[in-house]
Amino acid sequence: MRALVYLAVAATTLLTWWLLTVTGTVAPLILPPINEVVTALRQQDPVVPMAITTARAAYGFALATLLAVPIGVVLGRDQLLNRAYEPLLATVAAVPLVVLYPVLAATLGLGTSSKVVLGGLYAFFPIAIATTRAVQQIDPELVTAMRSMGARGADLTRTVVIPSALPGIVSGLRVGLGLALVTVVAGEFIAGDEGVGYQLAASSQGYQSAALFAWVVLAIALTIVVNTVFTAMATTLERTLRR
Amino acid sequence: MGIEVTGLDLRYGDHPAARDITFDVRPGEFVSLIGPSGCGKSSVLRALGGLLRPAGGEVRVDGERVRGPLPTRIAYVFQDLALFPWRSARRNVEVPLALRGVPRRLRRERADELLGKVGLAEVADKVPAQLSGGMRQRVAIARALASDAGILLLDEPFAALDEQTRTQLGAELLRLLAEEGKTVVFVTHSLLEAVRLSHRIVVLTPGPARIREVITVGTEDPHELHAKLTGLLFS
Repeated sequence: MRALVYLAVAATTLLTWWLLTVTGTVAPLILPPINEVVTALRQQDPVVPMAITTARAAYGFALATLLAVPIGVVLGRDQLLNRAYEPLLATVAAVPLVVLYPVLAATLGLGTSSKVVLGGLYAFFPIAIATTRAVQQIDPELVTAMRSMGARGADLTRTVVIPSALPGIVSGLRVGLGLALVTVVAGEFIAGDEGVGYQLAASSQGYQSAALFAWVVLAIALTIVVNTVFTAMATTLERTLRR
Repeated sequence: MGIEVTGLDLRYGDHPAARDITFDVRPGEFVSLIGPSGCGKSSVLRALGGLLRPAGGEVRVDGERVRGPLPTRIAYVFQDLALFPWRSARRNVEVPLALRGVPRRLRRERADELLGKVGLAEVADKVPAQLSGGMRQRVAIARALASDAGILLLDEPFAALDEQTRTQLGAELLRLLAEEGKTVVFVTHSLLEAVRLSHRIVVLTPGPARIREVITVGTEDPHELHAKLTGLLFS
């Protein structure tokens, strides 16, 4: 049933696209015919740019996770620190941090580091905020029950805090990963000489509509693959930690 | 195992929860705490278990002053049970065993044995959400028994159950506790339940809780006892 819905959406999109180009309603420069995009897709070598972009996003995401989850756990558990830092976290998260990109590019260069840091910066806030909220919502009676059975700090974190908060943390991670990927692509688009974002910029600035659309299709495919892999990893993680 | 409570004062910030509570529980005895809802019964129970630090007075278990949780001597059954929703019944019962460092295989054996005792051998692999209210209650009792503590503190454990399940579980609990030789303090707002289950009943006043009277069950005529308790609680 779900496959049918997907199929129907894809078919409708392609049919509309085909109709718009074949009737000449939209100029080929703005929307190239499907067959040209397919030819352009064949001419690209997508593996290297996609691998570069994925690796950058993954590094940024990993860095953000390593920092944001412990910070979120502490802010969720400690009321005083929470009152001091949660508003700050929420405020900074609302700033369009991409304004820092020129600074990052100037200090870290136009290569991988500035993209990783930008991606990590964007991934950090949703993960930290989601972790804080998830940890705050832990059933206090579970913690009391564990204390009555003799659990202390590390036992509590391992047996109550992390398993209870995990679903909330995972949804923060999902948002963070998406943002890391988007901002890495955007960083590559703005300045750089490799990666999916660069390919989009290069074909767009060269008025190569077919190639541009080919890269759009590839970027969408990449997002789908990254999300599928993430879901599989998250499921394994929940199975391991919530037993 | 016995409990002595002397001049216990409890407060949350400036708000007093209990004043000058003095009573004792003898080894093997079943004592109920009853009082109007919100009077501070649960707070008194928490203080007995070392989960709430008294503002004054003291609690002694076996002559030793209680300063924090005593997991090897005191086990709890909480009002909302506090079962781990992601753990199977068996893995819930294993928690106190794991915290005591019992090896994995022995943990499993002991948990299965306890689940058998409360009649849940068949559903050991189900998580709490897949069990009925009465079954969840039994898991919580099995978990409390797993700690091998001599004293059991039960905080309105049957509050969420229908009358029939309540009566049935109460009877089972008595049989089980007699077998295991436990000392029990039981918080309830049900008069009937208190009379049915206890050796002695500690009647508390509306909050902040003070002791109204301590009644020994079985020495009085049942009708007079009921009339007296009703008078104490609702006057």
